[in-house]
Amino acid sequence: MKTREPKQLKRKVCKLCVEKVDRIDYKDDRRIGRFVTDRGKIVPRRISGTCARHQKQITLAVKRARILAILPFTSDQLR
Amino acid sequence: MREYETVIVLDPALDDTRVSQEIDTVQNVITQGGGEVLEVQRWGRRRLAYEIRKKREGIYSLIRFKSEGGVLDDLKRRFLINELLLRHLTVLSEGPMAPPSGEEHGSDRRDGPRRRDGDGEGHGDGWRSSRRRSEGGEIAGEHV
Repeated sequence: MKTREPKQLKRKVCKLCVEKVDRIDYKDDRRIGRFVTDRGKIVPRRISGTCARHQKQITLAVKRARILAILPFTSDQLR
Repeated sequence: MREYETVIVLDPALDDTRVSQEIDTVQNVITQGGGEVLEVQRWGRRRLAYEIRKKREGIYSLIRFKSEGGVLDDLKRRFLINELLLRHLTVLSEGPMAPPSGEEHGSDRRDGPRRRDGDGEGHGDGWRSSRRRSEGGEIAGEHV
């Protein structure tokens, strides 16, 4: 039997809270782009570690940006 | 009266004068509806994240204004009729905001070290030019 490694106890901190961002704009593709996978999906909170408040803002912003073709709905659309 | 902002994406084939015309019409609709235009931003040509009507670029502009909600209906009606318009979006404005960085112009580097797409050259075809980590849903949010 392999001994199981101790669970990592690295605490995730919301990056946006660290940066003290108070609002996330759908026009800010640089910022939002970080919370989207290569396929264009929104990165879940469990992975990115964002707090509830910021995750909600991200979601809204990404969805708006998609309407304006600032972000893709899926990556298949272009290639 | 509330503050709104509208982003319109126009056909890339239009020249500057036509673009100004389109923006002017929007402004007129707003003022005639008793509103007040606060700010007009022209972002210029930007690559679209996906094709719209066979086009890969669009001319973006943002208009921030103050008006009664009824004006929005009027605007929307016109937008839907206008064939030069690829996309439009009107939302409540959260105050002035800088226009977006302009995607692939490489004038980035604002806050701290950040690993972005390896190829510094901005010529990308589409959103995030290189598709480095294929498939499988690896996450982009992890490295910041």
